[in-house]
Amino acid sequence: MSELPYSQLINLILLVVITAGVSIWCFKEYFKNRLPKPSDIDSDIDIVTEKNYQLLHDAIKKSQEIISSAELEGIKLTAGSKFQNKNMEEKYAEILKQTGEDLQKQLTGQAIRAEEDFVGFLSELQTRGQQSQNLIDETIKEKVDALFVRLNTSLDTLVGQTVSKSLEAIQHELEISRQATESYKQQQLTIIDENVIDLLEKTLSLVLVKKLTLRDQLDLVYEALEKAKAEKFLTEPATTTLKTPAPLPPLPTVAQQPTKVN
Amino acid sequence: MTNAELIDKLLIGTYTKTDAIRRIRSLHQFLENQLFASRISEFTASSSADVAWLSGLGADFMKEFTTENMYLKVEDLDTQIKKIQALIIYLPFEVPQGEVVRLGLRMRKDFGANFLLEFRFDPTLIAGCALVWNNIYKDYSVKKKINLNKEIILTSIREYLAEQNRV
Repeated sequence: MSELPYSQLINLILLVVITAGVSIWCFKEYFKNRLPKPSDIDSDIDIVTEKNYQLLHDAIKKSQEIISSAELEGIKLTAGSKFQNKNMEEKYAEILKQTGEDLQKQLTGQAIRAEEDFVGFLSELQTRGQQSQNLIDETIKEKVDALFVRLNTSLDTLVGQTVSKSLEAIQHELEISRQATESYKQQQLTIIDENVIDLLEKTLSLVLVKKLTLRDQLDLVYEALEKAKAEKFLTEPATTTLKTPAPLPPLPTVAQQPTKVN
Repeated sequence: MTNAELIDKLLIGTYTKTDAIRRIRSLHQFLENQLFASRISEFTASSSADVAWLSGLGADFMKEFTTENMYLKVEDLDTQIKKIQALIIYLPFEVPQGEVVRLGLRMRKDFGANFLLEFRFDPTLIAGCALVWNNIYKDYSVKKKINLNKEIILTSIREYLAEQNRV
């Protein structure tokens, strides 16, 4: 059975009361239109009044019955509602309790799991920390090793470069010394060559002076003059203009007389 | 007679600048002697060749000079002679006078009547000569030839020495 709320019950009662009121009003109107003759009125009035009283009584009774029935129904509904409310409260309480327990269980489970997770996390963190430490140690070791290797390489390179530079410097010095020696040698050879040429010139000057006759010497001079002429070396001077050749007079005789002129 | 004609006359038989300047000086002395005999007792030429040269100038030449113009004319002649550019010839020997004349005549044949030479002694030339013309020195001597062929000579000497060492 469905349970009606208290407000609906009140509405129902009000409906019944209004219906009864309307019925009474309709009844009165009906009898107002069918009024009997004045002669009959008095007799009828009593009858009608009695009937009316009877009807009113019936109506009131009916209405009281209805009201009672409605009240009863209302009480029943209220009782049912209370009962249902109680049941529901119990049910809700049960559900709440169950829910609370479930929640508690869930929370507890979650807490346990969270704790476990946290412990796991801490454990993992510790593991990771250890791994990181190991990694750092390893990295440091690798870096130190690499540093040593680099240092070793740098030292090797530096030593190599120093040795190379020293060798280059020695080579350079040797080259300079060799060049200086070569230059000195060349200079000396040049000096010797010059000396040889000087010696040759002196020898030739001594020999040729004795060996060459005046004619030979003059022939060489004429040859040189011819060569100079052929090379256009003896061109006319730019500043002094020579006169046109004059007729050459006979040569003055050296054996001509007096050395003493008055 | 103009100065140019006088110079032409003066340079007849004179082939070196040194001779020309010396002969101008002789002419100067001679003219002084002739024109101012009272001042100078006698004239002595530096060489017989100069005397011959003075004799060859002739009486017409001497007439050009008077007591008034003698110094000016002689000075002018000296200046003109000094202006003439001479071909300087460096020689390793002394040239005899006859050869000077021959050489002068030969050069005048090619370069004109007033061409003058100037000899300078340079024993280092060995043989041949060196010339200076227009202030340009050109060496045609044996010394120059030796220097030009220095490498060939040295190579020959080295080859000779190498051959001697092998032997």
